[in-house]
Amino acid sequence: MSTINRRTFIKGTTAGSLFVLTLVGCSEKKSAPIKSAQAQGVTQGSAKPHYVMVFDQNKCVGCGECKEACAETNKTPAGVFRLAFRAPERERTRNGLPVLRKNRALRLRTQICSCFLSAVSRCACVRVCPTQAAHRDPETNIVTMDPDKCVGCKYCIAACPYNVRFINPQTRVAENCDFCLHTKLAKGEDPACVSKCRYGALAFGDLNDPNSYVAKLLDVKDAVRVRTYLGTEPSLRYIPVMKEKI
Amino acid sequence: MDGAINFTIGLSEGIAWPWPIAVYLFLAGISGGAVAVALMLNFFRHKTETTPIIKSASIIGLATILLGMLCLVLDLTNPLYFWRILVYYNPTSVMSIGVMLLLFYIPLVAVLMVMSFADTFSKWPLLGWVKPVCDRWKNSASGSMPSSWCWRLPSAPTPAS
Repeated sequence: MSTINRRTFIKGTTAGSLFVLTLVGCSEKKSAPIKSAQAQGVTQGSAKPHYVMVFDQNKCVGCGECKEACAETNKTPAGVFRLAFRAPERERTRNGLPVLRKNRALRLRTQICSCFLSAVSRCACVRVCPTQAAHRDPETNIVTMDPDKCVGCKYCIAACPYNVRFINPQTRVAENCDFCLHTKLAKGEDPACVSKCRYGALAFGDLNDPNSYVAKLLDVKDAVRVRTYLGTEPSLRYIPVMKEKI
Repeated sequence: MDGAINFTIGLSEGIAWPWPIAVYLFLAGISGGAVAVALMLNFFRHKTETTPIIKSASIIGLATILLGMLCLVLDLTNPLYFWRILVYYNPTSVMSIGVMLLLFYIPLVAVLMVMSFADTFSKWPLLGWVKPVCDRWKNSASGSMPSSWCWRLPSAPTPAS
């Protein structure tokens, strides 16, 4: 029989695609293990540094100097920042009237949402960038940008689950926080926001080094990361506010 | 404890891609659909000659995909640097794979259009060379391929004579 009839063809393709789809489904689950052992990010014995930033919400007063230092160092145009910052709900209202609070300064809480850099491998922007402009720095594992390769397709912005990427209106390429990799880290200094914070709310260091400040800090503090179930291994850890109401 | 923070703020608002991307998807759908319909009609009717459907589909397909490319390129924030996406590739990026496919598809549709309109071009002043080239190519291709290169389907509908 030299020809296949239509029924055999349809049967064959259906059975084949079912088989292949089952295989794909199985391998997907196997190849994407969620590394819960690395929930606090301690990867022992790896040669590369694992840079993390720790943000203590309890210490932040919401002065915003970190934001200004970031803009100054990274030369972002006016009104554009690599670091998002919010002091939520300074005054709550009850029955339409503002509720006055004592020592309001202590109640300012901040969220810094830049610097969500995957230290392991599954960073959405690096995977989706069609030109490999968003890439991982080979020495430090920090996700950074090569502005000479970026075309501005905005795929990384659409893909980033943390919404921390943006188009710089001046250079017209996408940007993200890379812990001041090319400016401050290249000189051996801390990132601009960390060195500027006078309340010690921000810390930066290598988690693979057990003697580093962040490693010791994370040993004794409960820190959280945002959306870890995505497997993106964000590098920013929060020490959240525990006492919501004083 | 992960996820204890209600994380709602970000640096960009809304969907990153504006309406030209939706228009591009529509145009690409028209292009692919037109070419696919025309090719399948010829395929299942065991025809190799240029039908009016092939002609119209190829010109619609080429025009819409080129308009779509215009939408895509103008949506980039660096439109003049669009060649970077043709030079640098990332196999894990769906967009990069799409660029590879378009690089394959657009020249193919262009060749289809030129070959199906070769007769028309021969009447135009500067395009008389198109038809001899196409004919030579067709002859060499048909010599190298088996005479019945269409996949034989026993239940294919017989063309109305």
